[in-house]
This record gives sequence, C-alpha cells and structure tokens, in this order.
Amino acid sequence: MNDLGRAGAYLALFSEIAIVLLVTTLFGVLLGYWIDERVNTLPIFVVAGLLLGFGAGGLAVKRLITRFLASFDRAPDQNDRS
Amino acid sequence: MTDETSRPERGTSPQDDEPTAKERMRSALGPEMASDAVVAAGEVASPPRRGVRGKVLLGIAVIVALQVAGLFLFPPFAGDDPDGPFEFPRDAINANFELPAPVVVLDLDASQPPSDQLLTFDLTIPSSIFTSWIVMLVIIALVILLSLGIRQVPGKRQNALEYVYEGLAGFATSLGGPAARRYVPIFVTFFLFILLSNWSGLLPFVGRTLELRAPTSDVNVTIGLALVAFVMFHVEGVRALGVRGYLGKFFSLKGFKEGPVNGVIALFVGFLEFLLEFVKPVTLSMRLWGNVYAGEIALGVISALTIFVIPVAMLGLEVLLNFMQALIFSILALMFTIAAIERHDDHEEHHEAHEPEMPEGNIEPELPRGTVAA
Repeated sequence: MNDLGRAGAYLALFSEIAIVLLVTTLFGVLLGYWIDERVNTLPIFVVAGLLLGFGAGGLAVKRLITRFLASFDRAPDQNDRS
Repeated sequence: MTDETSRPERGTSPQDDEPTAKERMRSALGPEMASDAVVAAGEVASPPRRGVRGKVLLGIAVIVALQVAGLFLFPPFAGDDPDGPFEFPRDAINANFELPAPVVVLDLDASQPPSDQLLTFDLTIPSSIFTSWIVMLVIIALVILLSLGIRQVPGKRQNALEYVYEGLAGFATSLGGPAARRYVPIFVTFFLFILLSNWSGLLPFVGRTLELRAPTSDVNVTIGLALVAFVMFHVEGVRALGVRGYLGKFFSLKGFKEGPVNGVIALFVGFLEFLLEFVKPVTLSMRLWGNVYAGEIALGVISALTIFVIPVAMLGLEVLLNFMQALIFSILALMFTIAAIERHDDHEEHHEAHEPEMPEGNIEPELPRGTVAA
C-alpha cells in the first residue's frame, strides 16, 4: 500500500467513525423524540435514545477500528513477504 | 591506514577534506572533458525545472481559458428567473446554489407532474441520471479504446490501462488480503465511476446547463450507489457463510454457554450490530453526497465572486478531495464486504492472536499477462 493509499484508508476509517457516531446518536434521539411525542413523556425517551444511540455508535466504532486496523496492520506484513 | 583513506574526524566537515566532484572529474578526465562531464552530470542529477513550470503554467492557462469560454458559452443565469436580467453578484451567487432536487430531463410519466422533492421515486430521467449515463459511456469508450488490440507485449495504450487497473487491484488486495481479489472488479468500477462523476462537476458547462449535473451531487444517485454496495456485501456474506452462518454472526446463542445473563447480553449486542448494518448505506451515501455537493457550491460561489484566479487553486483542491471521496467510498464498500464474508469466530481469533493467516508469496491479483478487465 503506497502512502496515498494508506492515507485514503485511514481517512476512510476516521470519516466513518465520525459519521457513524453522528448518525446513530441522531437516530436514537429522533426515535426517542417520536416515542415521547406519542406517549407524552418528553424527555425520558429522548435521553434513553441518546444514550442508546451513542452506545450503539460506540459499539460500531469498536468493530470498525478492530477490523480496519487489523487489515491495515496486515498490509505491510504482506508487502514484506511478497 | 593512511591519512588519505581514514574517515574525517568528528567535528570536521567531509567537504573540507574530500575533493569536490569537479576536482575528481578533472583528475580523471582532464580539464577539457571534465567541465563537459560536470555539466552533463548536473543536468542528469537535477532535471530542468523550466519544463515542469511551463507545463503547470500551461495547465493553469488552459483552466482559465476554459472558465472564460464557459462563462461566455454557458453564461450563469438567475435561478429564480432564467430569462430575466442577470445581476452581479446576487444572481452569480444564487445561480450556483443548485436546487437539491435535480432537473427533469425526460418525463416518462406525463400524467403526473415531476416532483421537486429531494428524494423522489418518479418515473423520470433527471439531469443527474442523464449525466451518469454520459460518464458510463466515457468509461466504457475509454476502456474499449485503450484495450483495442491487446498483445502479449503491451503497447502504450494497453500499458496505461493495465497501470490503472493493476495499481487499484494491488491496492485493494493489500488492504483486504487475498479475500479481496474476488471483489477487485467491483472496487475498480466503484472507484472509476465515482471519480469521473465527481470530476464531471468541475467542468464549466456541467451545472450551468440544466440537463447536466454531477451525478454524485444528487443524493438519489449516492443512495443508489450505497444500496448497490449494501446489497453486495450482504449477498456475498450469505453466499460465503450461508443464511444460517451469516445470521449467526449477529444472533449467536453461544453466549448462553456462559450463563443466561451473558446469553441475553450477547443477543442484545448482536441485535444492535444487526441494526447497525442499516446505518452503513446511510453513512456511505450522505458522506459522498455532502462532500461533492458542498464542494460544488463552494467552488461555484468562489468562481462567481473572484473570477479566474482563486478558483484555479480551489479547483486543484476539489480535484484532490473528489479523488479521496471516490477512494473512501470504494475502500469502505470493499472492507464492509470483506467483513461480511468473515466468520465471527475467525475475526475474534484474528483479533486475539493478532497474527493473520496469510499465504506466503505475492499478494498481487493473479492477472494473466497481457489481459485487462473491462
């Protein structure tokens, strides 16, 4: 993997981390808000949705990092062997 | 060891003791030939910068000329009133704020008026789809032209095509390992299509004519691309592991071996992971669309306000950013596919041992010499 490719790979990972955290948290809050409006319990489900969304985002980020970094670390070894 | 061969002492510069290149040349070749040799060696060692500078200046001049030509051939128009008088700078700025909804080029369902919503499911051919067809035609034509008359010993055209394809293929396999070889064609296709789609928005006449618009600046196109990738990595996951094996990655009952609480927690985490799969197409599509759309607007507004000079630098930046966005989308689609075909246990073993099971030898894709993939 050349430098530009490595930079692209890391950029892909970091941008995915940011956007996954954003989307999951936003989705959790919106879902919580929708439930709160239905059952008139604002802000209980919004807070629950925020925490759940952020937790799910954290889980996704953990999986991303472990899988992606394992692949990125593997790449130089492969190049050395070839 | 004599003084002449010994290394210079610490603190003294080697240049002080050792003869210069010119002196060594003179002693070896004589005074007349040495001067010519020094000049020749200097030219070889440092190629003239004048040629590179000239090319860069020529490139900038071409871009400026294209912008001037674009300004006269496809003059900007006021978005709200295309036929009305053009007022600078108000209309120059407004003209570049393209509506998020694409313009309908061909309405296949005349009974219903075309929708002006951001996300549509109309039977219409909008400007972004029309432009994406042109991009596809360009890619197909280029590949056909470059691959005409393929030989065992490649010529210049064949070399260019093989360089691009093998470079991308080598990058994909170095990133995803041997499992990525199977997905090199789709990786290259995603990359080339998105790259040319992104770059098409930088052409002066794209966006200034209603029928043309960069495909990836329309969210409907990026969602379509993300859905293709989404279907691909799940279908490949099921194909590689089977329906049971693939669903078992998310809903595993192995946690119950360590007690009911662990089992329930494992099921809950698996359920969350399953839901997170549906976040992937959202992140893929929104990142690509947001970057390309925002870049186009920024470039258009700056071009409208500061004619010619600053946009050239901005254009260079956009070329690089659009390249990176195409690369990011392709990398993520590839990595998600590799993750989908990986067994959950394999992944954990990999992670714990941190020693991947890789075959020895060359990891480059095995392409028959003299062949290219279209």
